[in-house]
Amino acid sequence: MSTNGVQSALSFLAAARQDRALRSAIEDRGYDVDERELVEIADEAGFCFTPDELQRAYVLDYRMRRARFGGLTRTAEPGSV
Amino acid sequence: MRGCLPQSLVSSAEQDRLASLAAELPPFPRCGFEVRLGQSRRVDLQQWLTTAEDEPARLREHLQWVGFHGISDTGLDEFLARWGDPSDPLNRDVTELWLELDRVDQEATVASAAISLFIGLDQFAQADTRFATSSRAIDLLIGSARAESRSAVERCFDACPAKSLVSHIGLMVGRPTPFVRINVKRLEVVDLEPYLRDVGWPGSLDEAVKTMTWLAAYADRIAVCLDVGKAVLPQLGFECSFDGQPASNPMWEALLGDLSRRGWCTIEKRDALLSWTGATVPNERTPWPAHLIGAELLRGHDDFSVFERVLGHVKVTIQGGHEPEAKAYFGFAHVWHDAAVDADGPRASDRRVERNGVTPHERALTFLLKSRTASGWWRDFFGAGDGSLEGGSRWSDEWVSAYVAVALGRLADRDARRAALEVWQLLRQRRPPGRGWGFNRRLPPDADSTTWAIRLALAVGASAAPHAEAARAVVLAHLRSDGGASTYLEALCPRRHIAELTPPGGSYEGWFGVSHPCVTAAVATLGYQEPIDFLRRSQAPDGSWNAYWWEERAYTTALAVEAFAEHGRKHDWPRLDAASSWAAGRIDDSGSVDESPFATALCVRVLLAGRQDRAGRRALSRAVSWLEAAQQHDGSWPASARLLVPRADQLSGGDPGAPGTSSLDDARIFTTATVLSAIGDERRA
Repeated sequence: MSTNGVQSALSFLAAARQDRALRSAIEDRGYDVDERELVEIADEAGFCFTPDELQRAYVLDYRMRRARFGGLTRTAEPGSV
Repeated sequence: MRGCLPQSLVSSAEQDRLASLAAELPPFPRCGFEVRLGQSRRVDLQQWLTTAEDEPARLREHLQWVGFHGISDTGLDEFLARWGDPSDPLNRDVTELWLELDRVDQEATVASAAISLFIGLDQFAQADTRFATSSRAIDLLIGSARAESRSAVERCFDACPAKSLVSHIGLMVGRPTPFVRINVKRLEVVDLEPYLRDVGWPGSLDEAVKTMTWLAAYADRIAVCLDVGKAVLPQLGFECSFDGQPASNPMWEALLGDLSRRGWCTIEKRDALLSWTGATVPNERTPWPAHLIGAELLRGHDDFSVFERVLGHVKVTIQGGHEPEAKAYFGFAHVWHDAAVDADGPRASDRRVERNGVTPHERALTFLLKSRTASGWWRDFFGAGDGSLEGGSRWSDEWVSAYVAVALGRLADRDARRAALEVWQLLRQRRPPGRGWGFNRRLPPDADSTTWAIRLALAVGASAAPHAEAARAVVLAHLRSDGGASTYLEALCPRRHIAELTPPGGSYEGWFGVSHPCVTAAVATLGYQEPIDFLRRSQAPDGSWNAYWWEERAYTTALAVEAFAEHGRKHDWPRLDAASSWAAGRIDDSGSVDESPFATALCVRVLLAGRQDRAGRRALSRAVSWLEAAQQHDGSWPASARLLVPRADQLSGGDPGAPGTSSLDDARIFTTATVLSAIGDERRA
């Protein structure tokens, strides 16, 4: 797992929330989209990372958004079970 | 979620097997487990489906894909096709489906599993529609195989007393079905014996009643589960459900503890269940489902993906001659959290605990319990009369006490429930059966006070008591030809000689000769169809309902939506949606409705009873935060329930400028009970 890969995945997550074409590509995959397909969509848009790096980036993204937007008061700490 | 599953509930070997099974199920992000609470290690896996997001079609495709042996040679395929078709009545009348994968051997594949289906019937539908739906489902799924059970199943539907209903039917597909499972909801303890006798249950009625009585001391609701073959079989189950999770409802722990003491639940399983609830968020240890990452990217920045872990219910099954068996049902489900809503103010259940560690809810309860008279009544609205009312009192005790006690009777708190029961006993002692109850002891019975007393009887489990039964006849006597309820009967209408209330023409028709929406809405919560039909016709274009005795329309509106939510039909949802929009629109940016705790709390109840869109959720969160901030030091809220007493010739009410008088709840009891009820509902939600 490379830092660059995680960084690229973070950029993809940010872009996918804004970019209509990326959103459309994800939407087209429907309910059953898997990690490999998400990585493929990203790859076609110029983002390069592995499924593991996507997972790592997603956890970071989640925490950053949580810190920014607050909320989740009903839940336990991140990662807690 | 494997990392969260305690080994004491699901052993490592079972987890391996269930994980293999789960991997073959369609990716609906919710799952349940059925565990035996005794020494048995057996665990069954459940999946819950609705018609949302095309789930019936997706399950159908999936079962074909994995090669489930029953899909081609049973009616499961056709059932799913019809259920998923919006033009088919099954789509409307079957609200949910529980898929249970029972272990038939150690081979862990969906293709070879025995699949049981639990079909949820629309609780808003009429009984005959529910029966027709279940017959159709049975015919589709197991065809003529169970033709011989049809009359016994029909008997289980027909024998349901008023207010109770068959909520689910269960059957097995792909293998010989030994019986059809029938779940009956809302049966009260007093109804059990006649019901079981009517359906021909062959077990010990005494044992059944004792078991249900014991469980009713803990559970908020009990569903009775029957197995029906050619006749009703001896096994009888009691599904115990609770308001809230163990953190907010100690009755979970109490029941599981009792089961442990009886030897029907191991200590390890009890402790594991009580510590199961919580939330799981994305973490480094377990990959998050990719389709949920994808779905989250399509939502807002402030939407968060969470798996909530919950307890479902506990079931105790008896079968003459055998030791009772206890099972628990727990699971997890994916939900979205809206940070904007949460950031506005956390839910009451997790909200700040302040002022010496006592929550607003507890402080309100303390205030109310301390506000009772020495004999146990609550008195309020001291300015509502002038003391000359047929020698009468100024304040209300019967009506106010019943109203407050209903709010307390719904709480899990033992002192609250005891106070509610004591009020019921006071009411019983105050007037003989069949006389109903009134504003206070010196005023004649009215439909509103009597309705609140009946609601109290329901809350304390005394609805079959002679007083409660007779009171229903009193209320029904107040129903008018338009389906609405007047407050008084002409023969018993108080004729007051008070300047503001005495009609110049001598007509008291406004008090007995017309339907009063606010009283009708209360009566409708008892489940009578005529008042519900009246409410269907009388909703204002803005979604609210008018009141006769109240300045605040939210009073009628809150009761109306509660009546529809409990006793309405599926087609009533637009009415609830309109009411929710109206209520959300009244909550201002600060979270209040006209800075009135009474009106704000009622709007909270309207929102909680309906379906909330994002604006509704935000308004709800603001309102609950505002209410908590507005609480006074003693736990009460400022008096803001303004009762109107229109002059007796006024045929419509709700207008404080019209002739008549008005009074606030000076003792703050009525407002505080209303707010407590609202934040209690919010905690349960």
